[in-house]
Amino acid sequence: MELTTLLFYFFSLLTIGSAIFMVFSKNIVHAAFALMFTLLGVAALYVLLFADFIAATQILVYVGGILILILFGVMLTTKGFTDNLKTLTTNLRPVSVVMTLVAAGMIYVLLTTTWPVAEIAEPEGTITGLGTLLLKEYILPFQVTGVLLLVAIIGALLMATKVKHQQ
Amino acid sequence: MTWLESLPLAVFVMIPLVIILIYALFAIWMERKVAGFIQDRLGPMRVGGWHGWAQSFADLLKLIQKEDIIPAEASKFLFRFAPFLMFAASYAAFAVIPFSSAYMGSNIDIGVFYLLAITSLLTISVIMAGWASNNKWSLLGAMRTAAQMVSYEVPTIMAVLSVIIVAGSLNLMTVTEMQSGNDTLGFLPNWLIFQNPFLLVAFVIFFISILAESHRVPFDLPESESELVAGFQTEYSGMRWAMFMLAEYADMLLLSLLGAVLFFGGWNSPFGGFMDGPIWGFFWFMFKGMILVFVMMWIRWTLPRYRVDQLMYLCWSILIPLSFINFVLIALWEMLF
Amino acid sequence: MVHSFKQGWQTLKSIFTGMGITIRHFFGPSVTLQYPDERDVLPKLARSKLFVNIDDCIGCNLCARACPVNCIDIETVKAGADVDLGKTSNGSQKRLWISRFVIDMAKCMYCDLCTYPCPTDCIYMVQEYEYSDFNRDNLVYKFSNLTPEKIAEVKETARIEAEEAEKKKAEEAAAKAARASKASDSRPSSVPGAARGIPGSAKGIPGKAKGIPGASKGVPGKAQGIPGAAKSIPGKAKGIPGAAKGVPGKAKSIPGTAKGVPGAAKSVPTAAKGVPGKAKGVPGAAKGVPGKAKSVPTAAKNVPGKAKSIPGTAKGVPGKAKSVPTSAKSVPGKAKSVPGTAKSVPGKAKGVPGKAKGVPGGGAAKVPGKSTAKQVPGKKPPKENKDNNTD
Repeated sequence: MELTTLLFYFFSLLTIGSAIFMVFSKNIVHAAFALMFTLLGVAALYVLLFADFIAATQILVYVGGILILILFGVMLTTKGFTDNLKTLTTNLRPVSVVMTLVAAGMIYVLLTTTWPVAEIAEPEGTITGLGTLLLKEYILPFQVTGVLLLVAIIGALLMATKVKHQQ
Repeated sequence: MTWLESLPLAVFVMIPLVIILIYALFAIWMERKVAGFIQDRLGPMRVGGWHGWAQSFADLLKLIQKEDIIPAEASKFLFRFAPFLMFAASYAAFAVIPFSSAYMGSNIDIGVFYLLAITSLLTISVIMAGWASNNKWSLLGAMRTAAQMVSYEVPTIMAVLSVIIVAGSLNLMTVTEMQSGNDTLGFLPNWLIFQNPFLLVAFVIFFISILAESHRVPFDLPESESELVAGFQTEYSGMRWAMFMLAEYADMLLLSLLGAVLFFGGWNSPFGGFMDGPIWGFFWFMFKGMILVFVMMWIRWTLPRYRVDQLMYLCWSILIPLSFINFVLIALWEMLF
Repeated sequence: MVHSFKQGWQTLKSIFTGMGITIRHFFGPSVTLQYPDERDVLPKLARSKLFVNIDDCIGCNLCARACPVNCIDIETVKAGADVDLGKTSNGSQKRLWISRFVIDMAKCMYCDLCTYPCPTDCIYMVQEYEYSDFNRDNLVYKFSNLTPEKIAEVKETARIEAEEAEKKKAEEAAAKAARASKASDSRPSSVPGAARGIPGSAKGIPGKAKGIPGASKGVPGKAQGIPGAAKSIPGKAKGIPGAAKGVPGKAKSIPGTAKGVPGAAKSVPTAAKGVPGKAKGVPGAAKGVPGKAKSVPTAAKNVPGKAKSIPGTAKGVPGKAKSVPTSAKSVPGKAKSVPGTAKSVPGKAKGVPGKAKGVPGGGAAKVPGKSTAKQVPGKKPPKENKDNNTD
């Protein structure tokens, strides 16, 4: 078996296993760290797909940014990281019916679709093309996204700052 | 690729590990000597003969023999895992460092970007260690670390980006190669720091930021011994603690080497074609990195620690605006000249 | 804005100033002493470890009494009359076997107070400081060079002699008591007494009051700290011909003042003694005191050869100290001295001799040996001394 295949299965298992752990964990911090493994596994899968830029972004944004924010939020919340979560299952019957249907649909799609399989070939320089695309053809969405994020930041700042009513 | 065929690859991948291990042993000894000399002492003198050169080996032997204590109330798996995640993150980042013109772990186009991404795992591992220890000091240290590293990532990235604008590539090998030779004046090496006055400012920002990123004094709040009892490392002992130390020193070296690549020409000889070549390249590269490491140590034994609010003030109110302005100025300079 | 830049500049400047300092020290010489390989030269008077040159020790016990923490333990046995123990290096006759001389360095606090009183300078600090040990018992240093057998032997001899002397004394005492009661109505024997000194601890050193025909021995007294209450022990003091008794005075003193040094044999610290011959202006100055006893005003430290005066205290030079007894009464003609109250007014020290008591000899002139004041209250004179004195 090839090393790449082995790595693929390893990271797939890591991703799925830690995702399952995350869902069923009753400790919210454990869940957050399980999420980290999931995100790392996904990043590794990106690498195996020669999408190195996406992989690095995945790590930088999700692991280095969002996950830390989650952990911060959890830890700064009162008792959030000490008490086990009180999870209880409600609406068991309707949910199981719906989820069974969804799962069946997904499996059906998975089995019936003809997946195009490409030859493994390392692309030359992923980011040059990516940069060109972003800054030429998709400049508008790119900029709009940037403005959106800026608005979000300003909004967050505004919410976090106490407004003096007297003025 | 079969198992046997992947053996050379494994050896190839292990080269930075060997470098890190040797460097860590040397740097810990060096740190003590620097501290000693600066304080008019001698530092370790007795182990191994000449100036206690084997002190680090002795310490390593001691640490190996130590009991691996895991607190009863700790989160066992995360507690065990955190040191290795931290070292793994440091080690993984070495993949894109061009140690010499002949050796680079992975010659990928997104070099610097990858490096900055993978080092963000350090933050996670610190939080993991701090939380898993189930200790107030550890948790406080972890929170401080996270806040500090996330904050200082911004000026670091801005400073790095400034260089990337000038260099025009994220690949560190390319960045290094474009710095070979002498500059237009003829006597200075063609290093980026000499090419653009704003890059000097960028270097200052970068250096301050990497001090904070690698938790060095004056930004060692995450592990301040005097207030947090070593912060997230409080509950660690033996080899797990040693892994933290190793990771910390590896991180120091990593960021110093990154500084050497971005500003000081990487493996290029300072004398142009003289003393050039892959072997000399490696020497010069490590030499430059070690100079930066030395400056870090020098600062450590000179300056006191910042307060948390001062740390944040320095980052958000000074370094980040400055780095943005500097970034724009560098871009302008590149457009004009 | 300008302010911020100024502040920024200040910060940078101070950082570089600091780094300049540290780099200078980095290249500067180190002050470390590589200890086991190199050793510093100790100061001349360093206090590191006590040593006793046992050959010079006369067993006077002064060092043990000077010790504030009682880390010196001495046991002596009187030598038989026919035994000559030899002399010390400075000429003092040795009269006692040193059966035990133990110093517990674990207790020692290195105050060095024991070395000064030593009449023969046989106890002193040596410059050896590497004697730490895992066992506390190993810090107890034994200096006596007598074998256990020898100790047993000399003890036995001493015991026999003491018994004989006891018998003799009993007889003589009886005879004297009879005579004494006839001769005088005044009970107390007058001896210049225990002066209440300036607080100051006068240390009396057992002297050798000489000059009394016969053997007058100074008894190292123990000054006990009750001011003014020098008690002579009249009952015993009397009637022993030829034996002068020094009555230990009681000086209450503030430590650190007068020290009498035995070598001089002459300084009587604190306790002003009315010494006949010197008591001036006293009619009929107490007689019967051989001329050597001198009273040194209270707080005099009389260290022969070293003569250190503690500031504020009088330095009594033997022979010169004048005691001015205010009202010393002596009853001349009688071998008894009448206890007067001598007040010695030393220049600076105020010695208010409480009561000087002389121990009248049996009709003979006696000189009180030396009254010795000691710093440590409550100590009893060593046995050996008692033997000598309470004849």
